[in-house]
Amino acid sequence: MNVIVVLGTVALLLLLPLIVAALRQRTLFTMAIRNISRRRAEAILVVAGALLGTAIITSSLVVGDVIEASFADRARTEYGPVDITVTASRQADIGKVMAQAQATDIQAIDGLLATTTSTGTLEAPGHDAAVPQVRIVEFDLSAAREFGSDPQITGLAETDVLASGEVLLNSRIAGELEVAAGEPVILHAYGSRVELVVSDVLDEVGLAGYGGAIVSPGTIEDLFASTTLVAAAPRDQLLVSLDGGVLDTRGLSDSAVADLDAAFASLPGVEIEASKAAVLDNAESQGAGLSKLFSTLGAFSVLAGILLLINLFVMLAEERKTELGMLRAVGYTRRRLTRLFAVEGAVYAIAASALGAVAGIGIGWLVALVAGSIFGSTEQGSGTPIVIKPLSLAIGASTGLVISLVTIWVTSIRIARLNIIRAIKDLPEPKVVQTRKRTLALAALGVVLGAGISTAGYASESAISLMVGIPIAAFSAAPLLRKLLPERLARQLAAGTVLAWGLGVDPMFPEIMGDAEIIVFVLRGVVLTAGAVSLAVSLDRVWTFAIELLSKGGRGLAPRLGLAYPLARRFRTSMLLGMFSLVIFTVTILTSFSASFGNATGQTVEKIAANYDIVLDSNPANPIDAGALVARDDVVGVAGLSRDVANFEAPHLEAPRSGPITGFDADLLAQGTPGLFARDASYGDDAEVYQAVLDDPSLAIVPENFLVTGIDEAVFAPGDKFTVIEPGSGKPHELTIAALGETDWLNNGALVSRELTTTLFGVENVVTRSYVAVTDDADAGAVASALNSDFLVQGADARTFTEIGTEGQGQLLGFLAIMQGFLGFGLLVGIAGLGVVMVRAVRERRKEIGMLRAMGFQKRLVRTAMLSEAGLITVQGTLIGAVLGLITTKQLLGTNKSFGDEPIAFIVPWLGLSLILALPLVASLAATLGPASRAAKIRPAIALRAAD
Amino acid sequence: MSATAIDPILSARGVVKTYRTGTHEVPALRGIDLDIRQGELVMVMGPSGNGKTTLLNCLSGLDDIDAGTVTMDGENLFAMSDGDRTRQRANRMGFIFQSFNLIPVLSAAENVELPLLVTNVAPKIARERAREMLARVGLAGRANHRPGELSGGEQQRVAVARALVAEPALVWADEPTGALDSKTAGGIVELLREVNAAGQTLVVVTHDEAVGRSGPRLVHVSDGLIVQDGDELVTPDVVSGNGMLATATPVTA
Repeated sequence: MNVIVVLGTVALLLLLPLIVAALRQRTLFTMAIRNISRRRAEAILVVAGALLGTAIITSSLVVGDVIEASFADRARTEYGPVDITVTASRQADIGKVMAQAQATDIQAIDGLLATTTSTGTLEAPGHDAAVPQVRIVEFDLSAAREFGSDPQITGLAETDVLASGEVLLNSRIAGELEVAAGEPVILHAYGSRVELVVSDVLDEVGLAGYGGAIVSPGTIEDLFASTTLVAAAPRDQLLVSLDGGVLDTRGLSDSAVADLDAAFASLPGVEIEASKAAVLDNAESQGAGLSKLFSTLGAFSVLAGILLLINLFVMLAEERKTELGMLRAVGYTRRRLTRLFAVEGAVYAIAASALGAVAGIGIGWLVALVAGSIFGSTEQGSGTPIVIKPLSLAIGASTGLVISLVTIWVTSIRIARLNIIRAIKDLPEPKVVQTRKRTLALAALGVVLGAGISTAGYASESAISLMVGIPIAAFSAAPLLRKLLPERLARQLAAGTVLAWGLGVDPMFPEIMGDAEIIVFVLRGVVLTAGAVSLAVSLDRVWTFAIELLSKGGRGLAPRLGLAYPLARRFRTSMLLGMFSLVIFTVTILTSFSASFGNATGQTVEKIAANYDIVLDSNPANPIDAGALVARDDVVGVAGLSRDVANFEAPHLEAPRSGPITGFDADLLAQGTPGLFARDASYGDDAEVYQAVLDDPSLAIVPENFLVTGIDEAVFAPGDKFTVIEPGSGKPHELTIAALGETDWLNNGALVSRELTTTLFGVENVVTRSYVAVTDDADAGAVASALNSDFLVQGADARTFTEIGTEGQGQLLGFLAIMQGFLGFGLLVGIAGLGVVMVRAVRERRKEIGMLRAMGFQKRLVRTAMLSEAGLITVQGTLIGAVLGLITTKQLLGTNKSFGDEPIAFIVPWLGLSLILALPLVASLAATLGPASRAAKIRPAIALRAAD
Repeated sequence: MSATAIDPILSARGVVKTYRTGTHEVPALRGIDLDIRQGELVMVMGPSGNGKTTLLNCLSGLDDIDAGTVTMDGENLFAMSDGDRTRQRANRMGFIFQSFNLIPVLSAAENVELPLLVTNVAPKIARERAREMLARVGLAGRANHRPGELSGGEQQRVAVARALVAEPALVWADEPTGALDSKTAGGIVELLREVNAAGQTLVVVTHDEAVGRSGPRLVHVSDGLIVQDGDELVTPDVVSGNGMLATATPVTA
């Protein structure tokens, strides 16, 4: 809320003088409105160009809102009224737990429901279908219908009594089994089976989502009672509902957990988890993280939008120069002139921010739709709702408005400083020969300040300060250098320094730059493109030489004319080049990352698999016998892993958080050593790390994103410590991180010795995951299918490592593709900018074009000259962005610690690069075709008559 | 070199041009007959708004006509396609305008060489000839300067150089001194006379009496008609004080 207050205040401060001026001087307002209506097509173009920045900002926020809502919807579909789960170990008596909870009478609690849960395999014999691991729950159905404050959110409001031998399925499970009410299914668990009849198929909401299958009380216990298997026992749980609906109980959760913790202090073996709060927190984190990521990367497009706005208003001013000069001549002060221009600009800005916010909703929803399917937020019955949060719209619109207004004010102030006579006569401003003393003083200050910032950045190891200081100093030095050197050389030197610094700061200071946040990446892009663009526009001789080479063939007249204007109008050309290169820079980096990561998939899979071929999961209530696996002809090795869930504490966590923990033994290392992302320096190699963890139960290997919510940045490094809480006793075990593991596609979580997991979970620490190595002549995919079939009853879910790696990497690559698409909107800014420039160019050069036609220039030549101009600008801008993007990617992959100890091979994405270079060119030429054709059709007599 | 009494290089017969804006029609030319011969310096004068510039635009092919013919080198300009007419302008005509109409982003030399480049003269040769022409108009040292760095008179000299560089058969000049002070204007007029003396055919539209009467042939346009052409005088009573005609009958002396 603070953000909107600040933005609103700033917007008001910027608008208020204009509102006052418009009210007090109606002529001002009348002129502004008439200017807008006089050139409607251009007004539309200006608004269209200006709204893109708002659209991108708003869409970033909408993406986050939609993803958050989509993840949060899991609270409705998986929990409903269930806010807290209290799990009792076999040592605890759930009846006593319930009684204690009732006796404590915690105000926030509006419902308690005792349940028993387990995992089983459901089979539909008539349909040859099975679902390997379904959560089976049993509770008193009539009590469950009344659980919480609203029967509708339980998902059971319309159900009848559930008889013994019957089962309620949710729609997802029923769909996978292809069964309907009245049909039989078989439940396999604990080495036994029971035949059930589907009583009803329920929407996957509330308690029907909490459990995939609901059975009558006693069903699970009967299955468990007869088992001889060593398996995870059924869990008695007390489900707790807090006062409120599905999503509005978050605020009560923490205190309720604390109260329950106190209430159960005398009851051992009781674990309390705020399950729904974890879902909502994850949703919020996912949403916020994505918003941050999209808005940070979208900053490039926003910057391009600012450049477009500056360009547009400078061109509008140039068109009105004569009338602005006349207004000054008749007595308008500079202040009034500023307001005249700013009032018109403000009308555009307000329209653009409103329309941009609306456009942002659509763009954001589309992006979220695709991103959601990648992040899995659309599973479990959750969709991708269109979420329009007024706050996000307001922030997007007001941010866009503030950016536009600041740009307009600065440009208007600059424009109002025109020379009256030159403006009236429409004469060009002369080149500044003498630089004012004040400018030199400011330049000197800028040099000192910039150098100081970089020095301070180096001393404090701040990547941001280190990055931006030298460029500030270099650009500030330009006026001072002009005193000593020819102007062109001074500009080239300043620009070259900035570019060299942008390229060199990473290799020169890898320790500081190697661990930098994403904002540094944005700043690097700005520094590099600013340096490269400034250098490019000062290398006019190079371009002239290139064109003269072309001219030798006799075909160079059109490009010579096309190049003349961009070389002469450096400011405008820099703006256009900046627009293109900023966006292409980022798109190229994402494309290069995509190619490099895609290429590394096989390498990563090999590292994780350690020469095993298949991952086989089974039902903890009905685990697969390892002996049965080893005895198979197509299997040469099996490593058993025991996976479970525990509560963890860490310095960055405010409260304990649950997460997966997996115990391994020496079998994991029998075929090879799984590769690590980064290890503590005290270990010579990865094998040493694993052996150390096996030998010492106080060591662990964790994935880089361990105990991180959503897409928050990683917090752990080798050598850090965290604590795992022993279930039941609550005893803490402090663990030291020996190494960071590779990407945790398998969700193993903390990898520790089996000794530790046995300590934590006791006899229930069963092997529920096996890595399987197949014989050389066996096809891993075929073996995985066979395992699924042969061990159906045990809930087998076998997948090859390659399949898992491809799917996991596919998510990353899919996400990168979304980012590229999102940034592609920014390209629209560049193309829109170029289109507007060319439309205005036709008007500005009307008499010159008339003169060319009078001299005998054919229509085709005029058209080609304009297309050449647009093409040259586009090619230059995209080349600058693409080259810088490739160099930056290579540097990042080589030096940034985020990619692990072993650098990822840099791959040049030739196909993607071709598209990156070709598509903007085609689009720009298409945008320029209209204005170029209009230019060609200019009738010389009319154009020249208008001139005279 | 004096004008020779041979076939004219350009001949206009019965040229009519009417401007239509909405329901209004403004007859700008109401039947122009005019011959231009090789080596002539023709001054076209008349009150403002009476058709001088329109005459130049129509006879040079810059603008369309509603009736009549304009023949150059035996070909009717308005029987040609727009492309052919454009080529005709490139190959056979040069233009000088009141506001110079130089390309502001090109240097003086680059402006002058344009008519050569459009007729496919090799760039190197075009540049050499451009520099020669600039030297001829007294701007040898300003070849690399852009129009913004030149005075009005210098810019008009560049425009003159540009009009002449391709050695056109005919140069059209519309108010070439209109934007200049009297001293500078005099310099330009002198330059045009020199150019004509060297054999260049010039048609100069001007409202300046002094400039107009300095030429050997004066064509007076009034109300869309030629009322005086050199020695051919219109009956005095036909010409009213404000230049508007009561009738349009030319009288041959």
